Amino acid sequence: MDVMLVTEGTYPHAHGGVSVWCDQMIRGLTGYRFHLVALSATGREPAVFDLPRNVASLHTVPVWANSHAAASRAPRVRSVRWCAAAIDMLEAVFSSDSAAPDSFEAALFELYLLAQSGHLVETLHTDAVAVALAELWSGYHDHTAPALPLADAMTALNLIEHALRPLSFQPPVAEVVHAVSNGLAVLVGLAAKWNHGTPLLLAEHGVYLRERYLALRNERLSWPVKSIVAAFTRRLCEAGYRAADLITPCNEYNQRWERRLGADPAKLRTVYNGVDPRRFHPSDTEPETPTIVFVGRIDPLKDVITLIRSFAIVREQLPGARLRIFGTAPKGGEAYFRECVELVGQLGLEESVIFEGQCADTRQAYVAGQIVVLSSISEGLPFTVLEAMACGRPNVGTEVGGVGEAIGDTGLIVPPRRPGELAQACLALLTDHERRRTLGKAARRRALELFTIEHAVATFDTIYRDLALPPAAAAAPFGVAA
Amino acid sequence: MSAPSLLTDPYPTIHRAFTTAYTQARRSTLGTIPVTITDTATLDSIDRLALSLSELCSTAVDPLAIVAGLETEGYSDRAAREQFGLPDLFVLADQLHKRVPRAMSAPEPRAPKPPAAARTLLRGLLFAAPALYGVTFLTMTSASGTTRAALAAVQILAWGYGQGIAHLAYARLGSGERDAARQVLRNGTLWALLTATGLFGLIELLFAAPARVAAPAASTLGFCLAAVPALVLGAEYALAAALAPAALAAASSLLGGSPVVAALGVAASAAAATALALRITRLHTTVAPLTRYELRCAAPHVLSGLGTGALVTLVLAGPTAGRGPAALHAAMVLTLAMGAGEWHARWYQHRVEALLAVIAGPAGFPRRATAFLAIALVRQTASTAALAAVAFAAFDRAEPDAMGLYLCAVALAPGLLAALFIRSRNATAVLWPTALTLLAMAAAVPERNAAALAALAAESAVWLAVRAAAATSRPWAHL
Repeated sequence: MDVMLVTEGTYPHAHGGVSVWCDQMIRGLTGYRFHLVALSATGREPAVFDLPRNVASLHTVPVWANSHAAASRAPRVRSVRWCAAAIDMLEAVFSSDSAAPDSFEAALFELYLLAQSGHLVETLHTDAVAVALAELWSGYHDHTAPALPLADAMTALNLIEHALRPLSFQPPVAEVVHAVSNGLAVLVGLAAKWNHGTPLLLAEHGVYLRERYLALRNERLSWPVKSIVAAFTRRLCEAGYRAADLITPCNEYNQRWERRLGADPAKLRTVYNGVDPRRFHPSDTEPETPTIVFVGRIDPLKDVITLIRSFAIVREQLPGARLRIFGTAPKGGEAYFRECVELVGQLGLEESVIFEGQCADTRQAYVAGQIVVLSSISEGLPFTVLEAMACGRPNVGTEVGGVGEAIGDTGLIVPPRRPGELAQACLALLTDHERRRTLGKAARRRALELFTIEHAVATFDTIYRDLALPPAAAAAPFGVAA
Repeated sequence: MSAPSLLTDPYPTIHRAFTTAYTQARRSTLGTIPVTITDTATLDSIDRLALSLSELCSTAVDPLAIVAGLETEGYSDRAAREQFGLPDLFVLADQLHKRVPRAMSAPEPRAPKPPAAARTLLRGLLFAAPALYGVTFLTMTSASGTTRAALAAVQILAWGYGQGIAHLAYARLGSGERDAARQVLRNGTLWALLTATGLFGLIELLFAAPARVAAPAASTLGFCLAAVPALVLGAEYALAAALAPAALAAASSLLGGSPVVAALGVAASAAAATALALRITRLHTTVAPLTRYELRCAAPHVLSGLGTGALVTLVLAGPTAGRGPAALHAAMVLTLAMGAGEWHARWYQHRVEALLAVIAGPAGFPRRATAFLAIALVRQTASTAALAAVAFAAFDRAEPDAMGLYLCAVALAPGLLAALFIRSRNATAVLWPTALTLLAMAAAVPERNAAALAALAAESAVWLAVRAAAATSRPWAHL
């Protein structure tokens, strides 16, 4: 059976939880041939994963670099129909009408036809479309906002044009499309649906729209541009949830967003991530000094700053305690890493906070401490927590995403960004050996029961089969009906 | 119960507090606006939350953006129920969104900065470094015509090649691939230096060019090729330092110093620029090779570079076999003029960006953008004319023939600037005919007198200006 796996900015070009998950799934599902469609920034990124043998083909779709399909051309003859498709799409973005999601999908289909013939840039980089956008945006804000400057209209349309680039890709034929996130990846799934009626499985780790909102806050774009891009992304995600035949969030928590964005509750099914319990096995020994372990990227989303601040409080009570941070800053995020190092210096913790860098054997990292801490402000169902549980170590985690769901009653949960509460939770475990032992055992049991690779792989095996059957019942291709 | 009137603000206190804060802060950056409330007694827990998260609430693009922000602040559905008595975070966010007015009238400081004077002028001078070839011609008086032609051909090729490499690197920088850009610059420079050395060796063998002719030509070429990475990656000041020995050498030869000193100065600059190029293009990761698509996009840039190089070389050096110094002075005028041209180009860019940031639609754009372009080109002509007048008065008053050469420089300058405008728009469609015309003109250059050449240069300037106006009058050309 052929499965088209669609990723955006992750597998096989980048490290991280989603990429690890894709690799695990493909390697586990040996009975399937995978056609990998990787949406990437430029299409020139080197792969950081060796592709498993059952990957039949790899298609890279550049979203940001110029390419043949979307080469910027001087205006030639423009069809009125092109502008109309773009304007219809924008109308659906800003409309509060209940039919807007349908109109949006219909407009996407028109844009797909244009993109397939190489006219996406010419369609969106048009004076008429910019004028329409300015009017729609003004109406969206009840005509109370200042007029949209042309620069903002152009920037927003340019960003939307890039976001729509996957529509110019001709997807390979498969029996199931498996999109690993909502958003841009779903455009490929929609194209396959329109062309061949291929069923779409949408597996979400985080919530795409939620992460886009957080990212937009830090982007150097004007407020109107952010508002337009957010409105567009919101409609796109809605289209993804509506088009999906099955949505598998990796935790229950995400379902709140998915339902809010129009996902049919009947199509929602949580599938937990899994880890290899043979690779991550418990250790009977603990280090002699009280040690807190953090495993993950040194990144603002992990809020390592709060972790360091809370550790300073722990040190006041337990002067011998250590914090070992396993992980590196992502490329381009070195400033945050320096901020963390500076904070350690300011707090006089140079001796007790150790930046260990990347650890070749992650299990060694987990068992290097008594407890494992995750201070994130945003998470799906983090591997760190699951792996620590499999290693029989109790977690202290923040109440974000699926962290609480994963840990259950086998560790402690505190609100994010609260160094004091995080420190108290750490101290409670560090000073109570018996409680640690009990929780650690419970954690291992819970991991074996709910969070193994075998479990996740078997679930997707069933899902693929169910989706691919029965072929006769597949929906007629959109827009091709007589 | 009657429906609430549209005129009644349901949240007067908090709403007024934010509105006042926005007005006070006028158009300053958001997030730093202090929202002060004296009448705290009327505030409920949601108002207080709005105040404590004022930046999130006032800049949120919609209620869901507030939900996302609340979650990262540690609020959950449970908190919404227990602390605020609301069913979930989505309802809480709706409340916050309603209570806090948008601060959309306070834009981020986006108005483009005016160009930095020193850096811009420096870039201009460095961009025009190829005119250093003039120094070479000064030392060539004893070489045969064939040797001179061969050396000039190598230099013109290098000019076009440099344009191509720069374009490839800029394209990669544009998509955020700094390492990939470095790789292009590094490999491109190394190959070019090797090839150029080989070609010079060949010229030496074939035409038995004297070393004192070939060596300075080779080092000038080396400098110009090695300068490309520094210009693309923004290492202007380091490059200027590398250029210092050559500048001193040029000054010394202008004052009648020994050609050997000039040659040594240029060689020192070439070595320094090469070292700089290698240093700033060190790679941190391995990156992908050039694609055919990238090469095809760079082709028009190579051609137009070739055309420009040929034009400048032939107009200024072709018909002036016996008149080294005047041609050199005219070349120097053109060099300085391109420095000013960079300034005019930045001014134009600044005006266009400022225009786009304020106009609400594309209707008036073409007319105004074309006016800015015309002003920039007129200024360029005027500044070149002023430089030419000074140089003529200072050096060549005694040589009436030199007037024609200066005229050529003045006529060339706006055309070169117009070509720059076309090129930086990446308007491939406009580039091809431009490149072809330039090449045709370059072919027609020999055998004409200086006045006729100046007329030809002026004609090309007008033609290029028209093409530049076509390439820049759409707002989309400035994305």
